Amino acid sequence: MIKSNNISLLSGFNAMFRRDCFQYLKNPSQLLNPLIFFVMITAAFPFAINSSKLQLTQIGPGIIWVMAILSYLLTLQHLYSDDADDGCLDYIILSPQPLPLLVLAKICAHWFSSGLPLIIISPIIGIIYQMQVDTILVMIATLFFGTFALSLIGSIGASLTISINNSNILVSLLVLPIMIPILIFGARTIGLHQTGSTTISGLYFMSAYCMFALSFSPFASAAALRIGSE
Amino acid sequence: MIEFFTMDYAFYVYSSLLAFLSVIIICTKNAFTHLSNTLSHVKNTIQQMDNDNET
Amino acid sequence: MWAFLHKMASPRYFYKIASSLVPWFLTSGLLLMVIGLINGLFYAPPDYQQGDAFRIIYVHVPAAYISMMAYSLMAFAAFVALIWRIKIAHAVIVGAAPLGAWFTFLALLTGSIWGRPMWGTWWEWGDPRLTSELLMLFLYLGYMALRASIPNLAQADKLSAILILIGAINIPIIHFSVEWWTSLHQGSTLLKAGGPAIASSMLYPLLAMIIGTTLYFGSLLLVRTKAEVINREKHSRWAKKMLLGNQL
Repeated sequence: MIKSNNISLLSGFNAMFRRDCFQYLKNPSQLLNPLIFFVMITAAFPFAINSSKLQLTQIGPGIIWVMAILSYLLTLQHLYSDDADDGCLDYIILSPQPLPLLVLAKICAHWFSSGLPLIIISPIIGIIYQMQVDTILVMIATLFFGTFALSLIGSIGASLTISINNSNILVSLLVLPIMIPILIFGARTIGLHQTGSTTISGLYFMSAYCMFALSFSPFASAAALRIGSE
Repeated sequence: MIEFFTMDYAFYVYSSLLAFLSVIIICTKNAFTHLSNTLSHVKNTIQQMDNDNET
Repeated sequence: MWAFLHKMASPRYFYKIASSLVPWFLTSGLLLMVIGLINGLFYAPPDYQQGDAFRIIYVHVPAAYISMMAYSLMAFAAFVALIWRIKIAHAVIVGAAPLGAWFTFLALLTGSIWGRPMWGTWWEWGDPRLTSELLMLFLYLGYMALRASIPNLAQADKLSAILILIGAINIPIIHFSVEWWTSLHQGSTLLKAGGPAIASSMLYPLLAMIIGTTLYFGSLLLVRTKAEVINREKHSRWAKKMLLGNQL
């Protein structure tokens, strides 16, 4: 086994991924706050609307999806701003690894630390909204694609606004129009499953959207990061 | 002539016409006032730069 | 022609050429719009299905067409500005954005007014064309918001150009939404294989309106781009000579 001195792409990806994951783990409150927000607000809806069981199952998918997107947007602000604040972002941009690869690693780490807990928490919310087990499975599948797409698209929004302080609202404003198709398909797919129709076409669309976002988002974010840190 | 105001759906047709005309008028007015404001602003800036240079 | 385009990239020549073109475009555009509107409102025969409500087409279709054309123009200008670094393209994007936003709003408004008698509803949330057109309005507003919040001009230019390019995927979505999904909105009438599916007496006022509105949009675009260009070039000598005359 010959050890080479070349730095492979995979090792660069791994290094960035692990670094970001450990950074997220060091600040658990940053991760937990949006999750608690998600749980509390979705749990607050049945109290406020005072609806019957049938109504809850009907409005459940939409509310869960909207709240998932909103709480996920809260986590996006930390994607690049922490690194930009302490100067690490300049080192990342200047590194010999291709910047889109490192951006992709950051996005994956962000999804791992923010999206995955959201997906794990979602069955509890599903039970609050009186969903059956198979509906909860569909919801998990749609949230899986949706949170990953939101990480990808949100990274574009976050990278465009790194030079602006307090850019949460602006990031949401930029990201939400592009996220609307995923929101529509995600919520409607769960609703379709509840009424008995097939859901595979909706899942196909969402995975296609994910792949499409995956193909251009790292490059767009890398370009925006380079411009924004001049 | 009176029939043009009592055709079916006259309300909808004329309200959309009104919307169109208002947008046209607003856009034209905004564009030209923006241009004249910019021109006077740039003129003032240049004059100020001139004064700063000469003093 | 390449020499002309090359000249247009220079702010000074652009300003001069734009100043001479604006009155022609504006008057011809307004004239065509008046002709189209009068013919469409009073002389076109009523539709057999929709009665007289179809006359909203003479306002709705030009507005929707301009909204999509303005965004495509902005996307093309963003491409030119980012790849070939032609600075005046940024000024064109800045000039086109408010106009495109207004026409998108007008398209949504007139479409909603038309939908009330025809479809029975002011708005339909599941409809792909309505949703993607609304999305385009948000893209325009997002562009203007992003520009306004970045203080450095060069950074603002490039970052907002990236945003426009990312949102450009919406244009084919709007155009093909009536083919790909079942929609309340009707399908393509003009750009169909086999010629337009509309009677000539109704078609000609519509074409007059479309061409007239395009010329009108072009004139206002030139006006706004002129303002942006002179704002960016306020440190140059030609600007000083033009505005202050020969008092050097």
